[in-house]
Amino acid sequence: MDEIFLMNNVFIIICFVLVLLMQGGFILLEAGSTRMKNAGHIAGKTIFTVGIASLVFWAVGYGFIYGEGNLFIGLSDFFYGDFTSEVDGLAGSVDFMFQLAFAAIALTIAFGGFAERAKLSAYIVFAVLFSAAVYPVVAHWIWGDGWLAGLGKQDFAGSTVVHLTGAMAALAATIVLKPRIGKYNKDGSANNLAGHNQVYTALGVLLLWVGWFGFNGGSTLGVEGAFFGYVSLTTQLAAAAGALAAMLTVMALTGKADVPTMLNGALAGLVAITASTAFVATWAAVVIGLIAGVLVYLSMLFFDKMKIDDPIFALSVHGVAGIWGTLSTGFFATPALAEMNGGQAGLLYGGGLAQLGVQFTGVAVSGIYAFVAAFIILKAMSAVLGGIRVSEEEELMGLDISEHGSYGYPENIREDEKFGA
Amino acid sequence: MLNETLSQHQLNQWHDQQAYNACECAVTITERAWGRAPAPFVFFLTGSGGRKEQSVRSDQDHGIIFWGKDEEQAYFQYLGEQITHQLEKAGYPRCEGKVMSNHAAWCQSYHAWFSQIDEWLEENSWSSLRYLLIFSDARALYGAKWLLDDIKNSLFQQIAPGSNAMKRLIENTAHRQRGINAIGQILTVSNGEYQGTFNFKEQVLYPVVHAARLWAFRENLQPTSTIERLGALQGKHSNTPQVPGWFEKALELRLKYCRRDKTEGIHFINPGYFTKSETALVKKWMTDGARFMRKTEQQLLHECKKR
Repeated sequence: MDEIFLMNNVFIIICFVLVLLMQGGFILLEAGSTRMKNAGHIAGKTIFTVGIASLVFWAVGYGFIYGEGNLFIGLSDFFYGDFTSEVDGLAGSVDFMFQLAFAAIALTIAFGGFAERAKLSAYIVFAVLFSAAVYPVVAHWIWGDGWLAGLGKQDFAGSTVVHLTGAMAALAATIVLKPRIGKYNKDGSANNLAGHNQVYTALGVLLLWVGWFGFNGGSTLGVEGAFFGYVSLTTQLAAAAGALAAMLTVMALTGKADVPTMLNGALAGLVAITASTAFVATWAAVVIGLIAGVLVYLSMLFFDKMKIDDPIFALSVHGVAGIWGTLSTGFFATPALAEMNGGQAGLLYGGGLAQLGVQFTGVAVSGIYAFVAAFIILKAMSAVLGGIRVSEEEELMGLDISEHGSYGYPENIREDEKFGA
Repeated sequence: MLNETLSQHQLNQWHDQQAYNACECAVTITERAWGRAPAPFVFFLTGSGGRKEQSVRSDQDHGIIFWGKDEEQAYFQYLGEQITHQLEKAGYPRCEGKVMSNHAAWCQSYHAWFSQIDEWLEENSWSSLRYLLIFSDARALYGAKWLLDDIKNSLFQQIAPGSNAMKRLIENTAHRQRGINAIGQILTVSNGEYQGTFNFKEQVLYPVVHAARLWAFRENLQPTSTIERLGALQGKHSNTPQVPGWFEKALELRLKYCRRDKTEGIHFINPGYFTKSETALVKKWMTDGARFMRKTEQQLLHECKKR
């Protein structure tokens, strides 16, 4: 067997494992960012929704994205089971596993908008419908043989496909579900329903950061030329710059070096560089990360002011940074890297507005589709399921006990947390 | 009944009168139950009351020193409880930190108070030094003033310029809380009940209060109000930092806006209420106060290092 073929496949399977492990990062991030009474629920739901995403991706998701079809949807390769074909120099099954992990990440991001108030049944039904009808459509447009791919849209590892799609579904969820009890006062002021464990949140971010080398590095789809090294370099620089910029911004504006904001800055840097990692110079990666770090904090303030309760900051980290990351290649893509990886050079390299226009179109249409589709799904689910939010009493008790019958922290749960917000 | 047009000075006199009335009433009740006081005593106010800087609403901070034996503490603690009760009836909440004359630590004999001061100095912990700072603002309101004067004189003499005690007091009051952000906005509370407001007492007044108190130790100044301390300091030395001349105006501004809101959070003011010129003034006061505190720290710590 060809050595390069073998190495490519081993590399991508390792990257698949890294991306799957990012779910562990999300478990820690989300559990740490929410209250003790919901910790077991937040952690547990991630595991079973990864299960649902996997089954749906196998049944229809992969086929909708990569199957033979038209500019809008793929229509073959359902119930995938091929062990003979090659895709992009990889065994078909290896490529399938790697792509499956991305679909599961998009779903987990979407569930950020459900945190601490959605019924368990809502998670199950939405996991099926999002994985079948929302994510695959956008992924086909950009990564399959869709119309945005035809326009030369640059989204190397999924700032739009994975992060923005997930975030727009999260936005629809936060709007349909409405804010958590106790988040906003009658006079319009907001309360800080602080997460219960910043150490978990920080560890979650670190785990995601490590996993991102599989996410972006693996998107090179092979080891030839070792281009994954360059992709890892820009990824690392953007994450570092994002953390620094967010920390300095929150310190400059509030006088306090808020830890969750700094952590969100690192993630925003990672999300932003995901689209542009293979297209931009290292200095541009730093600039992209810095801008993402500033944007994420301003966005957190904006959503709070708009009374959109986003407990995990999915809208700011994955949505706003996802948009910025996608647009950034329109500014910073270098001619050499664009030639190597697709599309055209960015505005700063004399590419004019052409690539920026494509990036903008891609972000706008994909974002609107993901939001509208998720909103319709959630409204329909709400009608059919008799609401997708738990009762007030259940929310006050916490979802650990109301949905699962046991606490994530049975010994440590505070008496007032059991029945109060 | 509190007149809404009172100035800060008149408001302090009004608060003093309320406390004095509470003392008189409490003495009558105590004499009825326990007989006449077995020894001379003094009731003192501390905290913002001691410094004559109370706002419209204020919690209780006070103590008693009595001339006599420790066995007589029960009598004076009973008196302290009556005063506390009368003040509570008049609308002054009890102090959460228990700095009140119904608690044994703040109701002691003349001799026990000397030992207490020595103990706090010797203990040298954050909380014991905080008690010393509170005590240094004590002002006699009812009874034998000399009892308090003697103990405060002794305390001030022990905090010699450049001493380790002085160094620890400076460290205890070191103020690093920023009041203005990088783009020149007043830093406000970001969420919760006081969202959008800022703590006027902590961000504007406290740096000057703390610095003036440190200078009072340094120069053995007996007045307890920050305004009087600043006045006594003015022109005392050529090398003291420039003394803020706006403190009284800041108290008046706080009074104007805490009357407006009538909330429990009397120190929290929405900067959106300020006129343009008031906003500019408040920002200048914050910068000026922080500079005064910083220079005070630097100068007094420099003396500590020299020794």
